[in-house]
Amino acid sequence: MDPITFSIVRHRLFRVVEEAVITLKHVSGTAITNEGHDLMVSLYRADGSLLMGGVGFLHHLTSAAEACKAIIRRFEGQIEEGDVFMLNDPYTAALHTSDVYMLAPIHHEGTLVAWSACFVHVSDIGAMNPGGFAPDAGDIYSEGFSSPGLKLISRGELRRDIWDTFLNMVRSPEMVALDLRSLIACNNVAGERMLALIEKYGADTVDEVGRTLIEQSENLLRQRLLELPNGSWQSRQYVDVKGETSKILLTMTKQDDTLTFDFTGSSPQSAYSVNCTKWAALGGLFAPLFPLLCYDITWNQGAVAPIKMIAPEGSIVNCVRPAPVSVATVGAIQSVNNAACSAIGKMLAASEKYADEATAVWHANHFAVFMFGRTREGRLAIDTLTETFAGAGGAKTYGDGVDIGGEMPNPISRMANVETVEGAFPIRYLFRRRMRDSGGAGEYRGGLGGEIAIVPHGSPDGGINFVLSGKGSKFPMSDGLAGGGSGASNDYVLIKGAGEDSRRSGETDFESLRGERKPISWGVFPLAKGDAFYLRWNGGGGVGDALARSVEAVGADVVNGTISELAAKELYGVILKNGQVDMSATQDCRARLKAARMEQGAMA
Amino acid sequence: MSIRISPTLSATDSGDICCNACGHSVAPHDSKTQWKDRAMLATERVRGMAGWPDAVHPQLVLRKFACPSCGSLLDSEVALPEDPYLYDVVIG
Repeated sequence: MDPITFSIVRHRLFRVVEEAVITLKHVSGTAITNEGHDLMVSLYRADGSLLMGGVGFLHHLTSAAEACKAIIRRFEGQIEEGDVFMLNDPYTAALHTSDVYMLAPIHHEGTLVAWSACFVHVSDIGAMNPGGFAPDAGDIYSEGFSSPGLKLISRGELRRDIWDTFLNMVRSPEMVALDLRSLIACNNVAGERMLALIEKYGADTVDEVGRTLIEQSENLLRQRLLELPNGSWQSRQYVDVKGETSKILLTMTKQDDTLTFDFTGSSPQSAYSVNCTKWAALGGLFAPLFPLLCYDITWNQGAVAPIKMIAPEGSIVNCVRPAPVSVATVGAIQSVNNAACSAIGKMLAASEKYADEATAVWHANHFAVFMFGRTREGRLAIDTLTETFAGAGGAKTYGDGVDIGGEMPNPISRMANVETVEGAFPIRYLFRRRMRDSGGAGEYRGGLGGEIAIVPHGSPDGGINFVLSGKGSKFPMSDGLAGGGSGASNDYVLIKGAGEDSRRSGETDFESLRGERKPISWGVFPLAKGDAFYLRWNGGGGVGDALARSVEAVGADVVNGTISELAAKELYGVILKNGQVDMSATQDCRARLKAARMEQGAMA
Repeated sequence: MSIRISPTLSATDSGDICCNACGHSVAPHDSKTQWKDRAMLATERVRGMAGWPDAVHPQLVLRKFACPSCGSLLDSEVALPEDPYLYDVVIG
């Protein structure tokens, strides 16, 4: 094939996915999809293997491939033109029940040539807690509707019996219906554009481009791995739920042109819904692998070939049915993301050629707050705080992390405007800002996370309720690199009863919030009239020794509110007087802190 | 020809893992020795550190592995006290 045609078809495949994402967003009406971009669209070959990975949450790329394969197995001989399939069983392929996969075969002249697959986190899935995350669930049976695969549309005709049955099992069915329609529309556009591509260039040409791209990706990734040092790198994550501490332990071994992720030593599956299944863990490790090792390589099945995962059955990263998994995406999966990001970052940092690609861990702890209650118009609604998608950048080996800088597993994540949330749901923000001192200390510091406080506002019931799957505030998760500190951990505080002034005027930071403070992290909580809910989210990890950070940079960080004077002194050894760096005192302080490592330390 | 171990450490021709800041030999670069076991270790509680919320686990510690010669920070990790060090091995 001539290289021009190859490049045009390759580019068109990217654009097919991109236009499908736009379609999905245009049809969907939920904040979690439109604002948070909790979505994914990708193309798959006829056998279900990944053809063109899209954007959105990257841990779905390989899981949706497995979903395609599960549908191919289940519906062998019954996959027809115009069909659309739905799958959301985590023990088959999905990450958790509320991330619903919609899979559409693409036929050309009667032959199955490809699949389009997408997902959104639907507004509700009928779990015991509203919004899909079910912190109270003790098993998968309490986590709502779950299907290992069903035919929702048959030869272009919606199966109304299934549609109605599904919507009969969920809260806020009008919004869930919109979610499903957005997925169907997304696949329709992807299918139409793929057929237009095939009409123009021919089925054989498009198929050859797909095969060649997969071969290229495998060859390029193997070549990159050969350029990286052989070795093994460890990382560890702690997940805390109501006093139960679980560990995710990863040993990543690079040998020649292969990479093995071994989770042996991780904790047994949890009684709580932070577990994840095998397919989810696999997707979890690919979420940082694609952007860190394949930033210039097409994300397809070829990039999967050199990778091996070992996840002991019955562990928190490969749980056994009927273990609960509804919080997996912000639980074990995210910890797999983080552990893989940390290990890959250390491997890159050990390479002269690729050291600039190394990073500390980015935003590592989603907080997943789902609010529910009646809107000002009296309608029952479920909505999410999209600040969880705002994230924080991890530091690089040459520069600071970006404040509120997104997250590694989702390159297009973002948060809604305050006004958008306030307009849609009966709450009011007291403040939303960068969280000072939350970035991991280092020669290059981690980007800051943020903090917010909300109160009920205009609710016909006087207040609302919210589901919090915070997996605790006890452990940091945004690991630093090469001596850099971890980003400070999340925190959640319910402030009860402000007295007469329910407007809480003048309460513009955590210290000024009035009322009884109750630390919370897991469960369902009321936010009643007079209450406030405060939360802060983690910063990114830092890189290098904080005592090596330029004094001028630390001084500027204090001036612009990025770090406090206390942190400047205790973590960076920089002393300020009247807002100016005291160079003499700083030199003394840094020398003292460095000496303390020797005086207080002992041979490990 | 030296082997880069991390941004703070290199393995030299002499077969040692050395501090990049001062050149001090921290540990032999072999299959039996972990360099962290030969570094200076200072441990401090995370709770109470500047910028951290009160909810942090009371036992969680920050382990700082430093060069025994110059005090440069070589690596760090947060861990519960009973958990082993995270070991990284670079063969090259």
